[in-house]
Amino acid sequence: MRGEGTNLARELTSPLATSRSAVAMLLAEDLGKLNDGQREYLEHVLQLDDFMIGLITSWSDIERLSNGQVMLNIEPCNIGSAAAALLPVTLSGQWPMVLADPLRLRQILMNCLNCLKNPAVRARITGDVCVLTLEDRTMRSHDDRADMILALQGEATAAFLGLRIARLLAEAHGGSLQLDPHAANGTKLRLRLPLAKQMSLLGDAAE
Amino acid sequence: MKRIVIVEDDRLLAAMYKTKFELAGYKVEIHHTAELALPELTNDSPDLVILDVLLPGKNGLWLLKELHAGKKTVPVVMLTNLAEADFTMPEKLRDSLGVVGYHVKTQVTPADVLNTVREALA
Repeated sequence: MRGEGTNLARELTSPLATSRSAVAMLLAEDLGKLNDGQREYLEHVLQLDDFMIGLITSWSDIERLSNGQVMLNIEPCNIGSAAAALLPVTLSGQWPMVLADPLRLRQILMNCLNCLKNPAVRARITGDVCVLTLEDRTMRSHDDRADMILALQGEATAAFLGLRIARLLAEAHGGSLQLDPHAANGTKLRLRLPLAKQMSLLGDAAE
Repeated sequence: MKRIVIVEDDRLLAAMYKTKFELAGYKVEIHHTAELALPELTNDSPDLVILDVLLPGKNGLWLLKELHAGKKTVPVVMLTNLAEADFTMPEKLRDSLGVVGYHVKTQVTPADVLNTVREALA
């Protein structure tokens, strides 16, 4: 059964979808030519619509994940290939295979990478678990770091909702997502996911 | 001129899509409920249907199944506010019911849907 929050999210996003479509049509000049000022305002409205839709969808995702309402289609996935698809740089070498839902794994990685600038990614195997470290060297303010910790702890904060969703998704896979409290500079996230033991421990090189 | 039927209860959204498709050279009709759309679709089959899932009264899936039961084969583009995760329809069933596209309203623009329509009618 779907949660009340999910239904509410749908009710809230429905008029936003209509507003978004209207703005998109105006920007496409389907209803007449725009001047620069009109275009600028409409682009801003479109961004606000997308921001609100993203926020509402994230809250809905959190509710569904917290209530165990998200279905996972688990299969062996090459974590290097999954990360490489989201990064502007090439990942070389062999990467572990993990047990994950490919679409949700992409969401976890994307939400983590969205919080980092020019991140370095590496993986190691500890027992039955793959530990993926995503790290950047950008100095963060104390408040920023506190918000990240709160989001990962599941506190009600609007900041870093993506990280909270990533943590819940990792846990739904039997893994975890943590912020390294000892990283002196920058930000270090550790994503733990179960290894695909029935497959070879190392998959193909990341594509 | 190819004819498209839009079944959508959001009147503003339906009107916008009508404008978009008419500008692209299609003839467009709108129905706001599945019950009202069914006899029209049965009597005079369009080239394509844009179908919302959640409608007042009978829903879009009911309409799809009724069309299928009446041996009506018309390409259908689903346009809904249900996230794909909430709307699981096996690929085989989608194909058998004539579903050629699925769009979540919050993730697309009328131009995106027009592209799907053009591909389906090419």
